[in-house]
Amino acid sequence: MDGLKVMPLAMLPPGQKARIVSLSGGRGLQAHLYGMGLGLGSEVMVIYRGAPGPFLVAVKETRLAMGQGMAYKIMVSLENKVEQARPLQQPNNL
Amino acid sequence: MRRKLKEIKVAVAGQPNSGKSTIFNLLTGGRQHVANYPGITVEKKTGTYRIQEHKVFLTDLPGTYSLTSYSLEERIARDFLLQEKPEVIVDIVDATNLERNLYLVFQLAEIGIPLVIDLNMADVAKSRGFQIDTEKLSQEIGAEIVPTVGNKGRGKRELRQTIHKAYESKKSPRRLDYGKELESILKPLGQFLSKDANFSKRYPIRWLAVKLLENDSEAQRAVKKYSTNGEEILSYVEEERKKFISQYEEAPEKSIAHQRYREAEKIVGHCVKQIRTEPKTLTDRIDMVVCNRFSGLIVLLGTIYAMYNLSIVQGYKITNYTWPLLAGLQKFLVLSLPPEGFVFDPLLRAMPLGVIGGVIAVLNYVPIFIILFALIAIMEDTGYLARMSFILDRVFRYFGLHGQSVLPLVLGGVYVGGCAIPGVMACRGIKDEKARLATMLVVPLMNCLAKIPLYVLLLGLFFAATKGIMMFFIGTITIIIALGVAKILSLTILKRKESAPFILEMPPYHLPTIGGVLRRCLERLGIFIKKIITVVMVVMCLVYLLINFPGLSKERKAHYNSQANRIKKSFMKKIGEDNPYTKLLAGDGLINFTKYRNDYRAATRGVEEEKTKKVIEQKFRQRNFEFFKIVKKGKYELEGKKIKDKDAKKVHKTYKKVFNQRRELRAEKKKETIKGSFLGRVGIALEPITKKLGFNWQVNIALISAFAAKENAVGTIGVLYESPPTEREDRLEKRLGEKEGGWTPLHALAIILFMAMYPPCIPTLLMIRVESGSTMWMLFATFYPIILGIIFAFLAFTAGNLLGFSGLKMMITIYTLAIVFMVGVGFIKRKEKTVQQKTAQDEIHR
Repeated sequence: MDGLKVMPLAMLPPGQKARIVSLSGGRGLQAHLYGMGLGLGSEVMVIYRGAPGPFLVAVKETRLAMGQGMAYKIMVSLENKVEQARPLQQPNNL
Repeated sequence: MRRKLKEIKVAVAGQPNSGKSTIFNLLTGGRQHVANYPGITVEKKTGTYRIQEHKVFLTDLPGTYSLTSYSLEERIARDFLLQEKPEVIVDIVDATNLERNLYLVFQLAEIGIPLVIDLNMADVAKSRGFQIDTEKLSQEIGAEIVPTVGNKGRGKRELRQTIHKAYESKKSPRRLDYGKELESILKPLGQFLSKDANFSKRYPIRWLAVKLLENDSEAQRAVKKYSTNGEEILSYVEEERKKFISQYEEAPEKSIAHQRYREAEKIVGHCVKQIRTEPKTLTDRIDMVVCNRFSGLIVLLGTIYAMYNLSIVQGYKITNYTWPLLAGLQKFLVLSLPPEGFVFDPLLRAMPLGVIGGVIAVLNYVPIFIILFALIAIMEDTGYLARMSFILDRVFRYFGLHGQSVLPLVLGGVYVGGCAIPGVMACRGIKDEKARLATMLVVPLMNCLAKIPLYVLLLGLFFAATKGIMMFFIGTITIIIALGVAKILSLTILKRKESAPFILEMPPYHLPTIGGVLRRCLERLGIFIKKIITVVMVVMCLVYLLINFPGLSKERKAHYNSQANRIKKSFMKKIGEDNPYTKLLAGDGLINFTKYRNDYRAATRGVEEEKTKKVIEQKFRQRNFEFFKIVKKGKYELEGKKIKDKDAKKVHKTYKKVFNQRRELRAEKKKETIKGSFLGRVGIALEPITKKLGFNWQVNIALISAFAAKENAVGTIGVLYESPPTEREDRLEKRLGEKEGGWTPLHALAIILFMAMYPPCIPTLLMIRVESGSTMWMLFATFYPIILGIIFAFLAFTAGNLLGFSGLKMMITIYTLAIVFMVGVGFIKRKEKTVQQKTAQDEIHR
């Protein structure tokens, strides 16, 4: 993975769009975040940087407040083609 | 004849902020019932309506983002769906946020129960430029879709009909295809699971297969417990998972989640056109101001001040108008009790009298509660409450709390007026165990509604001129102390508890609807009033027994009876044997007349209109003409002539003396009874110690009785400072004011501060036990506030007297000390910083 372009969400400048490449934390927490719209590949944008204090983050139409600890657990990439780096890419025919 | 309608069980699911409760209300109309899920304290709303020959029985599930076993709400929702097996699921979907909401839709569809999608807030989506092709969407998802606008009541009929149709068709929704890599495991797993016929009846196989592959612990438990070949299945799943991970370098649960995302994205791509994009929504623009660290703080302070002013200041003004109504109610209730005796009243009169008085004294504050609950509902509905969490998180973090601690603290009474019970319950929303326990333990330090009556009473008496500013100090000192205490708790006894990251959805701003706000407000008010009428009544009875028993000794009773006889005899002697009224007042006549006169005075008090006065007089004239002559002091009309009756005048004058003597005798008796009672003995025994805190024995008794529920403090003081029955409609302020001439503002301040730190009431303690799952925390929550309270009362009274400070000056001193304490502990370093470094090293894939 291109190390230069991957960074914690906490480092992302406000207004800049990026995609989530990884989440850390317990399995339960991850599953919870998926439900809130924070999945791998989701487009995110920082609206308001806390530091100190929570961040205001946009994920599609959802606005999430997250603490700094959380913002460091989400790694994002500025590159929009994260998708291709992932293993399961075959389109599914329903 | 009424046929018994066939019942359809319907579950209402949805993500938080999708407008689920609005739709639920829309569907059921007013007919709903709020209870708790068995054994736990999550609210369970149920309601019914009729459609054709069916009765639809709706259950509102807690709002959840997905159906994992991460939070209690999620577990409740899925347990309900799996165990209660509703016949239809209605999923409320936020049309403006379709993609995320589809994540839950897919999971619900896997359960296999007929599914109806309610596309809510269709109007907002449209105004934001989203064009949703519902027909296509319905095809792609494989379930019926009904667009609604919940807050405008649109779509109710269609939704009801669609639910009915889904029930009739019994069609399972389409399940998501996870792609060949995953399906090649899921399909054989499904076959494997359905081998056990009994088991496959109990659980939806597809859902279970997905959950097992996701490594879900609850699903594993279910298999182990109910399947005949559970172990075999689990080892098979484990094997498949391992194979998958080694082949694709990714955990299956991640692939599953990813697949759901892709599918959601695809569907939205097909069915939703954004004809217009707004660079910034109104919500975002408001948030730029409201969430900003500077302007946000101003908005926050303004909001809290407005809440205080509207609920407490204005609400208190309203109580001036509602009090006569309550006094009337009280008068009415008292009339139905057995009549009083000359000195000793029957138990059936005395005990209910105390209970009624106690309840009425608290009901007086209902207008304040109504306004407060409505304001909190407005804050929840508009979405501002979430912003409060956002703004306050950075402050709360310094004290070991969490942004989400704000709701429990507001409900508990962050400034003035709240209730610790919903406050403690709301702590469940905090996923961070450390912060949750810290919040739960300090919530009872907030100013719950039940503490307010005592504040208002004492402030009105001793700080009349500076009432407003004093209320501000008291209202805010509790949060200052609570923050300090929370930090100390999290640094000491909570040190080892786990802490979790802060993440919270900020719902878009909405205009609240009157109906929604009113409904929530009345719901909470209902719970509160229920609490008063149950807990407080029981406790008032107990308090009555404790302050009246064991009662006076035989000798003392005889003493009072002989005193009473002496008064009666001297009365008879004074009016003389030749007075025509003598016979009338002999024996029981005197007490009958007393009752008559009390009733007369109660009925005419405050009546100024001549016409009404005449009506009342006529009534009493008819009731007993002879007594009427006396109460009119001998001046009355008979057959058009004005008559002056000298004998009646004399009786009246003499009676007034008797009346006062009787009152004194009764007061003396009462005091002696209480002093000798169980509670009185404890109160008196504690007086040497509590003297340093400025508490006399009456205050001790009142404070001890408040332990069951704080409402009792004022109630018990009411009993202890009871005036003669005819003057009961005087407000307690007046009565206490007359009796406690010896009190200084420092006494009052000490009592107020002790009450501010008072231990949680018994219902709250039980709630803490339920929510923390430990008796130890419950006991801890009981005792630490007493120590705090003693410290503050001691400071206020003893230190205040030594320094010779006035009440206000001492309040300011203590307030300053509290701030210094809070800021001091706030700066003690937290040890959570390592999280960031650890995260950086974390592997991307498991």
